[in-house]
Amino acid sequence: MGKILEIKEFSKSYDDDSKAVDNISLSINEGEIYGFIGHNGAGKSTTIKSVVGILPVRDGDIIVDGMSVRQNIKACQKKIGYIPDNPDIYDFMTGIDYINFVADVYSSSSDERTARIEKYATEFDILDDLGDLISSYSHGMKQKVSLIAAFVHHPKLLVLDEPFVGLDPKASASLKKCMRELCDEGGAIFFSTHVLEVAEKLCDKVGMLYKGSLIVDGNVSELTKDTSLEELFLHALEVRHE
Amino acid sequence: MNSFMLISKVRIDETFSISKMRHEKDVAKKVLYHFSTVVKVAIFVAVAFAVYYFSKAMAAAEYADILPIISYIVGSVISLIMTIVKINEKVSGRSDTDFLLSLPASNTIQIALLFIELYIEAFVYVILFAIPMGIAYAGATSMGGAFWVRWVIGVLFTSLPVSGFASLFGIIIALLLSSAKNRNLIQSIISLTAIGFIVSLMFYIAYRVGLAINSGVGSSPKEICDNIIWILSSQYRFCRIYQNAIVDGSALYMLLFILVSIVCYAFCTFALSVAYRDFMLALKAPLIYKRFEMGRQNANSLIKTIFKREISLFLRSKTYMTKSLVGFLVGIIVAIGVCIIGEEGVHNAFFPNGINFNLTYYLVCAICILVATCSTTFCSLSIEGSRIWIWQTSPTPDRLIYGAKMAISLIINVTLSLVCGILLSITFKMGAIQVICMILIPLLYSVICAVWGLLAERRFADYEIQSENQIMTQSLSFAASKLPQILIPVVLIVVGLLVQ
Repeated sequence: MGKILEIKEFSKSYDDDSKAVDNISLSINEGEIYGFIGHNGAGKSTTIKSVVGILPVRDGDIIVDGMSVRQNIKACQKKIGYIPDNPDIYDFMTGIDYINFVADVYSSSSDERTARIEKYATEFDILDDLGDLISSYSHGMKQKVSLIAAFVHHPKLLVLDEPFVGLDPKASASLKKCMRELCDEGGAIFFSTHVLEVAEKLCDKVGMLYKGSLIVDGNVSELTKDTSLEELFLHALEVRHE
Repeated sequence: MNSFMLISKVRIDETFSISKMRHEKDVAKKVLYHFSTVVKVAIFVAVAFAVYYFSKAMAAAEYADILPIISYIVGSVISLIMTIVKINEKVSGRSDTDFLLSLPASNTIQIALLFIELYIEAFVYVILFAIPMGIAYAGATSMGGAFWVRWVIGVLFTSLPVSGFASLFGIIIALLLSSAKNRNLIQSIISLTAIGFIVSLMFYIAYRVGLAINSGVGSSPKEICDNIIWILSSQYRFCRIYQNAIVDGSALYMLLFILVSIVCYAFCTFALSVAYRDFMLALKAPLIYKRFEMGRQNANSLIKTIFKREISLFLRSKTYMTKSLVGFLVGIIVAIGVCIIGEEGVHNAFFPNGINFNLTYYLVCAICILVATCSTTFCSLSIEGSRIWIWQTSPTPDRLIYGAKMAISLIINVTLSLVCGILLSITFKMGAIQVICMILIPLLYSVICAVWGLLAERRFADYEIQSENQIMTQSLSFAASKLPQILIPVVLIVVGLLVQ
């Protein structure tokens, strides 16, 4: 299985005093769902924003499907679908207009997008509302439209920042199903959460961030052979403090 | 009272970016912020002096009697246009509306704050003309202390009736359009139509006043002034009340003036505060159109998609489009007006002694001022706001995104430059070289403004400002690009006048 995402000795500082992310390295293979866990302010969003090109990478490197974001960010972005933690999208468009806009940006063909929009809109139970203005959508509906827009161009790497916040239980279940399908079709998913139960049930691999450092990284099945993720995290914190 | 002070403090902080600048670590941004504040104050003072010297010249020519009514009309027009441009966003554009509605603070406080904001913004422009004109008038007519009391009352109440009506009208329009899909576009069109009408009326009044002054052969300056006051009062009846109350000192008209001014504003404030919650709910109600039917979704080219999005962003904005096109309207309407009255009409109304200066130079500078006001790139990134992540994470080359933003700016400015350049060249029967200057220089300046604005945005874009009004007039990009773009041709005009 090829590596879809590789983060190599990546560090990020916002000022000279402290590092938001300190020398982390991890990799995600094809077909894997990687859960990025950490407390608020641990550095999850900083890492994610560096992966998708919002923040520049100066220390270390990030490789997406064999291409470095430092050298060819646009080529990397062609392979990435991204949804931020609080997706603000164009409220002057209708849902379908926004999805088509994203599909056009990623050069998705008519046949492909038609099939995918219908599939995912039905899955997320929002098909009937796609003709309405986004300004009239609830937070959850905006999130669903953002998810459909991210899936519509079938990205190689899907990056999600706290994707389950704001979704109803049915939509959460649909999202998990779609994530697994994407991975089964050769893609990979890198998402952040601070809910350990979600990571334990959904992910193939997890990484735990604590104050910018990666304190745990590995396969979920191996890590939780004898313990839960929560106990593992707490133990790792104790070791760190010692 | 405590809630009022607390919410006021938040609004002031937000408007002037006080906390933001206090914590800003980028030295260049801090310097630019303070520099732009100083420049704005300097411009205010410079304009006040220019108005004063113009008023002194009018007084010296024995036309001091028309100064009060002109200051009132100018103040009213500016207040009216400002209110029309801003009211849509002021009322329906705040993202913290739900939060404010949930507070134990009364709706009346929030409405009062909204109108106080509008009033203060208009008042700054009213005093810009009223104070220098008042000083020139009082000096020429040796008015006593009682006049100054009346003058101050006049200044305080100038903006109230027009702002009150414009606010109420804007709110009613917003409510009527609350279920319309293209609400912002329709409201912008209505606002621009209203502004276009006002500008046309102002041009017509200026023409008639000019004719009255310059063609009043045999009439005394007093008779000409009375004629002008009559012309102005016939167009705006409230001027007569103002003239009788403030200038002539009639107690009855003073009472009427104060009463009508307050009633207009108070009625609007009261009406909105009573129905504020219902009004906000109506504006924020989900807009359900016909049930969506999934058909084949067609792919578009990247360039078409980006350009279409850029146009949608512009057309469906709350204030971005309206504010950007005010200068466009002024230019087109004045150019058409000049064309209609012809060269002879211009001579008779404005230059009775003939045009003994380089007209092309001043017209080119004037068009360039309008081009600068219409340039849209200076805020084109900041206006994306919290949606900027869509561009930042897309594989679209930056040059396409910037190209689309420049295209919007150039479409507006090229149209403006061509229409004004061609119409004015024809009206004044200019030679070949003058025509080339009239058209090419503004076109070139359009490109310069577009590029300059974009460069400033790349350095100073602020995606956290939510108000389009604030982005367009108080952002650092505005200070770094739009402000100097407007000042350069103004300085050239001043230099031209001084050299002459």
